[in-house]
Amino acid sequence: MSSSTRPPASALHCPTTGSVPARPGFIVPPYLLARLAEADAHGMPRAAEAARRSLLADPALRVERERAAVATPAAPASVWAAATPTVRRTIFDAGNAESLPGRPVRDETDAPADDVAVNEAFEGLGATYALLLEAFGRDSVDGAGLPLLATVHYGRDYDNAFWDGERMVFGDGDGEVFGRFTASLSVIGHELAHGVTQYTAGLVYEGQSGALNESFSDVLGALVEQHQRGQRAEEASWLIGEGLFTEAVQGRALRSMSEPGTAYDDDVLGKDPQPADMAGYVDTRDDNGGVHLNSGIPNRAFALAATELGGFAWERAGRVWYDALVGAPGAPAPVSPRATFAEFAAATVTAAHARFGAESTEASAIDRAWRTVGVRSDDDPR
Amino acid sequence: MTTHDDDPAPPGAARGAEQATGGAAATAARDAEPHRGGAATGAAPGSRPATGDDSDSAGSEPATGDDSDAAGSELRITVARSGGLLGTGPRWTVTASAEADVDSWLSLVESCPWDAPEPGDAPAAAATVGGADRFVYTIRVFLPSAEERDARVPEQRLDGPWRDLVDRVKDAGHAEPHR
Ligand SMILES: [Zn+2]
Repeated sequence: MSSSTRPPASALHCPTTGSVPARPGFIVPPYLLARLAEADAHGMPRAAEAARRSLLADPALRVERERAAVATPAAPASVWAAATPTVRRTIFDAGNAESLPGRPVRDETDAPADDVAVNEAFEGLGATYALLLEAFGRDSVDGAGLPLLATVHYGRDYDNAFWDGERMVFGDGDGEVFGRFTASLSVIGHELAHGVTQYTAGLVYEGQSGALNESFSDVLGALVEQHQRGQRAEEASWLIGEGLFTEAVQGRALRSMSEPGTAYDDDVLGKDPQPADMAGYVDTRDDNGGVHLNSGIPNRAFALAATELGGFAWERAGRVWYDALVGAPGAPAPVSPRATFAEFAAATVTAAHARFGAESTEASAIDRAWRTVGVRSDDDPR
Repeated sequence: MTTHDDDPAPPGAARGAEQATGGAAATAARDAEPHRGGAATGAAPGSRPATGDDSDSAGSEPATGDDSDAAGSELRITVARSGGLLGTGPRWTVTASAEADVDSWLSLVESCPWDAPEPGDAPAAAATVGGADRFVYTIRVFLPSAEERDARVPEQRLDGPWRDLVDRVKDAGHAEPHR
């Protein structure tokens, strides 16, 4: 992604001016703030209020502030002061060692650092927090304002990013195949989504449940990127980890959700091994039972449903996937930790019925997508 | 692009070590035993990086020279990395034939806790360790006796002798593309 797609630094660092109380930054791109400020009409009063406050607080956002003021008059400060969902981020620097967490280098009170990896991690956490809150009304990874932690510069030539159960960790890459892992917003969203899964369905990280865990992380990673760019499903790349490879690599990204198995074909990396449907399901003991391989199947089901439905993917397909994982009113909650693909597919169809109706275009598009990838069959009820 | 930039030991040196039965060559091999942190070329003369794609079966190395016992005293170790955000990773292989060299690798191999609960049961082990997108190392040793050992060690447990073994194989070994 290019840096021009990110909100300006002034929007990322909320000053405390005038009569607005000091508080850590609430990090959302301006156009989303304006939209979010109107969200209380759709049942998200806390998020809407937080967005209005953020608009009002930042002098760099005068235009949006005026728009928001026209749309909805600000409530008294006492209404939101106690309950405002607020992002709390801390970035650490491992200094190329492999011990965690490393040295704290940036939190909400600091100006941008002189280190692109630190700033990318910080902004990526903010973008992920914004998606969770705006799209799903979820306050952070645990739904209760959990502080978000990331460590950068982990290890030497370390070709990976991971979630360690408490924090996201990013390597710098070896420089020959991979560059730094903070360079992709979808990867940052992917790692944080592992935290969401950990606090909700707790999908066991092996076999099909592990591939579902992986797939949900790709789904959320893609949604964070689309949300931050204001992209509709039909405009999206559906790539995970675009921009991580060096120019020497023959490949676009780590994975393609819409066309699994086509993301790269390279001398060193080999060919993208992801299957696009159940006929290609990979039985292996490596990779915790192929969790990063077979995730291609549910990934494609999501991309198919989302592009068929069109519009912002987090509003319909994304909402249903989230409901299935977390549990939602009217839907049996959440999927079991050892869920199979078929169980998760059934949970998404149930969730679509509950949220959009049994005869809804959402329910039928999602059902059809699972059939296309071979997870649902004629034996399953529609 | 390519990463096959490992510089194999000169064929002559490897052959010489394998054919050697005397004290001088054995001493030379011992002096050059693999050491942590060495470059790829730092492997002992008898510990040449494997070449080609034949490392799936221990007996497929072409015989070198006229020493028909060489294959019978050969030690081979492969380390394959899977998992991580990508899911696939490279595989590194070392092959040792010279007696001192085999002994050096063997002592390292034997210092590893092969009988601990985790090895051989990687998915279950890794799944209970917590976190996601961590590397998993599959380590296989083909002993001169034709016996095999293997273990899967999640990155989080890759410490002590396991770490030492994996680092040495990476340093001395030939890397193959992801699979
Ligand atoms: Zn993952």
